Amino acid sequence: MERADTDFLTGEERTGEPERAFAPAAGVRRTMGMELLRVENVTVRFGRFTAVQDVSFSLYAGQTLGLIGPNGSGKTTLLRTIASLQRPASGTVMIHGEQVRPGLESAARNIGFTADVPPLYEGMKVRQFLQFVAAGYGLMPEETGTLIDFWLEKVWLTDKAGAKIKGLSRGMKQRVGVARTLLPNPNVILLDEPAAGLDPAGRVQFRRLLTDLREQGKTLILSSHLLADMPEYCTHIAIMSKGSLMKFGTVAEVSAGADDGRCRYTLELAEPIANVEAELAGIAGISEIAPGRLRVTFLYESGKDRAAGLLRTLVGKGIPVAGFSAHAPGLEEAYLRTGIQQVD
Amino acid sequence: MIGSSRSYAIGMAHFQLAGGALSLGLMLSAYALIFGAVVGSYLYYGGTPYAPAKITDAAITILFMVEALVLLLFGAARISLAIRNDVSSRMMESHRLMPIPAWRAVAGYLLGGTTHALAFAGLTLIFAWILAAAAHVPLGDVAFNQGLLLLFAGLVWSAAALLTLIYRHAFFIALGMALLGICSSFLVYATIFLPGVLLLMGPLIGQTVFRYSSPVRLEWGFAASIAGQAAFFALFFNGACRRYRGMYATTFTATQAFLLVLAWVFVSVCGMGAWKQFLMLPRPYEWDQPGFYAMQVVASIVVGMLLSLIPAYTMAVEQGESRRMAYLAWPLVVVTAVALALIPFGTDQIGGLTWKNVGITFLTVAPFVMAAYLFCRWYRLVAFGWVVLWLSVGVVVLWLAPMVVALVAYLVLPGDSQKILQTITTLSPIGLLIDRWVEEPRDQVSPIAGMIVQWVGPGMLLLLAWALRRVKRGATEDRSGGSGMAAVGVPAPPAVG
Repeated sequence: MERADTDFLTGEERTGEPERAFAPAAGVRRTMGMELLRVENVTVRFGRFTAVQDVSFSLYAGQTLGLIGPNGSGKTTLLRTIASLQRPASGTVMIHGEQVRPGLESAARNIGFTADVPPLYEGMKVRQFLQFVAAGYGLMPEETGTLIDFWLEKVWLTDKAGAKIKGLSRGMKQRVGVARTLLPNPNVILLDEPAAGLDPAGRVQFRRLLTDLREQGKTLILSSHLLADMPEYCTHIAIMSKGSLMKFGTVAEVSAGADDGRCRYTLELAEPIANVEAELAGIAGISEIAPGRLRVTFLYESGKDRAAGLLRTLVGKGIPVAGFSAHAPGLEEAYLRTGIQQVD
Repeated sequence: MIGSSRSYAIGMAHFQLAGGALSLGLMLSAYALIFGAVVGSYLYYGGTPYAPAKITDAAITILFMVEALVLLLFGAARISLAIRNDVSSRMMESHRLMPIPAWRAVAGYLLGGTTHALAFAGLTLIFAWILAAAAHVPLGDVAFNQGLLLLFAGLVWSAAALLTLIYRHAFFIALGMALLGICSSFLVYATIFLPGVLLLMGPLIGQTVFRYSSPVRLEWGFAASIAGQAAFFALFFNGACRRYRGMYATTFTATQAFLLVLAWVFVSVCGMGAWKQFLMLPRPYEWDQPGFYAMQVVASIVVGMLLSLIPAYTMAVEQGESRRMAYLAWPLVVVTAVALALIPFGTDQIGGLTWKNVGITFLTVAPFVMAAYLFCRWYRLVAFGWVVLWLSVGVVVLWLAPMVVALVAYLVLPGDSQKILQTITTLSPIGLLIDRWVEEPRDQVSPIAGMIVQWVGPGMLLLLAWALRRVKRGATEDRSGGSGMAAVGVPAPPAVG
C-alpha cells in the first residue's frame, strides 16, 4: 500500500494519501484552535473516599497534557471521568462546549480512551476485532478496511492482522488497544499508561505517533510514570496527588517551578563509608539527603562555582568520591520537589 | 439508525465469539441429520404399535421440550456468560465508549449470544410443522405455542441480563437455586402459593406450550400472563440498560421501581383469579378452601413487601439528587403501600373482602414500607446490604418470631391457649391477616389493637436505627473536631458497573 510506505511524521509525505484516512468520522468536528476539553470542578468519590478533588483545567486543540503522580493519586479516575466511564459526584466535563453525559453520541465520537490494560476480545483476530470496533462506531464499511490497514501500519502490527489477539505479547496488545482508540478518529484522546508494555524501540515510535497526533490538532491526555519522555511530546503537565492537581501548566512552567537556585546532585562513592549522611549534613546548604550504599543524592545550590566548591569540600572531608554530577531542574525535579508521598 | 452496522456490532461480536457462521452451520446440520435419521428409522421400520397421531404428538412435544431447554437454559446461560466475560475483561467499558445506545447494546447481548439457540428454535419450528402437517395438527397451534415460548424466553433472557449486570455471578446462583427448588419441590409450592409466579410461568405450567392433543385455550389468564411477562420484560430490559450504562446509582428510577411493585400486584391479582387455568393439581378440590386463598394473599403480600425495598431504596437515593423526589418520596411510599393492599382483590374466596379489610391490609403493610424507606434514607450511604440486613431482622422479629412464640404457646400452655395464641399472633402481620380472613368470626383481639401493635414494632426498630445513627454521627463529629463536617458532607453513592 502506498500509505504504508509514507512517513507519518511530515506533512509533505502525507500528500497523495486519501483524505478520508485523516478525515474526521461522521459527527466529529474539525478542531484546530478550539477549546476542545474543559474540566470544571470535577470531584469523584467512592463511598467516603475522595478519588478526585475539585479538578479544573481546559485544553485546546493541539495540546498534550501529561498527567503524573504516584499510584492512587487519581489519574486513572480522572481519565475515566473525562471518558464518561465514571460518574463525578460534582463538576462537569465539556467537549466542544457540550457537557459530557452517559450515552451522549457526540461525546462518544469525540473521545477515545485506552486503559492501562486495554480490553480486547482475545478470541478474535486483530483485524476482526478492529472491524467490530469500526462497526460499533458506524464507520462506512467501504472505508473500514483501508482505515484498519492504516492504523495497523501506524502501530506496527500489519503483519499481525490475521493473528489471534490471544497469542500477542503484552506490548502488541497495548498497540491493538491504541489502534482501537484511534480508529474512529477521536479529537480527545485519553491514554492511561500507554507505553507501559512497549519495548524501547516501540516507545520511540510511540512518541512519534503522539507528536504527530498532536500536530493534527488532537487533544491528548496521557498518564505516565516515564517523566523523562514527556517533554518530547507533551505541551502541558499536571501533577496530581491525593486526587488534587498540585501543579498545572506548560512543560516549561512546571519545570521552571523547580528552579529555586538549587539542584540535585548525585555522589558516587568508591567504597561504602559509615555516617555518610552525617558527613553531608554537616556541610552548610545541603538538604534532602537520600543516602545509598554507593550512591547518595541531595540538594545543594546550583552553579558551576558552587558545584566545584562542594566537590572540593567533599574530597577535603575524605569522602571517596568516584563520581559527582549535577542535574538541571526538570520535570522529575519539579515532581520530587512537590514532596508527594507514595500512596499505599 | 435501525439499519446501521453499529446497531448489531455487539451482537455480531458475540455471535462470532460463539463460533460464528461455521459453528452455526455445523450445529444446524447435525440437528437436521439427527432429526432425519429418527424420522427415517421410524418410517423404515414401519412405525410402532401406537397410533401415528400419538407418535407425532409425542415427537412434537419432545422437540419443543428440547427447544425450551435450549432457549431457556442454554440461551440464558450464553447471555449471562457474554455479559460476565465483558464485565470481567472490562470490554463492556470499551462498548460504553462507542456511540451505541444502551438499549441496542443490551439487545446485542440478548440476540448475539443466543443466535445459535434462536436458529435452533427456527429449525425446530420447521420440523414441528412437518410433523404437524403429517399428523393433521393445525399449524397455527404450533406457531402460537412457539410464540408463547419465545416470549417467555425473552423474559428469562432479560432477567438473566439484568441479574448478571447487577452481579456477575447472580444468574448462575439464581439458576442453581431454581434447580434446587425444582428438586426439593419448593418451586412447585412457590407456584401454588404465589399465583403471580404461576401466571408468569404460564407457558410452562398446566396448559403448557408442550401439549398438542388439546391446544392452548385462549382464556383470559393467558392474556394476563402475556401482559405480565411483557411488563416484567420491559422493566428488566430497562433495568439492564441502566446497569449497562453504569452511570446510575440505582438500577431503576423510583417510578420504574414502583411500576415493578405494581406489575407484581397485577400478576398476583390476575394469578389468583386464573390459577386453575394454569395449575394442574392432582386433586384441586383439596386446595379449594379459604385458608389456601388466604395463604396465597399473604404470601403475595410478603413478596410484594420485599419488592417494595427497591422503590424505597431508589427513592432514598434519588431524594439526595433530585429536589422533585424530595416532594414525591412520601406520596410514592404511600402509593406503594396502597398498591400492595390491593392484592386481596385477586380472590373473593376469603369472605368479607371489603374496603375495611383492604384498609387493614394497608395499615399492616404501610409500617413496613415506611420503615424500609426511612432505613434506606438513613443507611443508603453505607450499603444497600445494611438496609436488607436491617429489614431482614425486622421481618424475623416482627413477622416470624410472634408466630413461633404463638405456636409454642399453643402447644405448651393449657386451658385458655386459644386466646393466648390470638393475642400473640396479633403481634405478627401474618397472624393478623390470617386471623382476619380465615378465622372470622372468631372472638379475636380487636383489629384496632392489632394495628397499634403493628405500628409499635416498626416504630421501635426505627427508633433503634435512629439512635444508632445518632451515636455513629456523634462519634464522627468527635473525630472531626466537633465540626460535624464529616457527617454533614453527604457523599453520593458510588457509580455502579
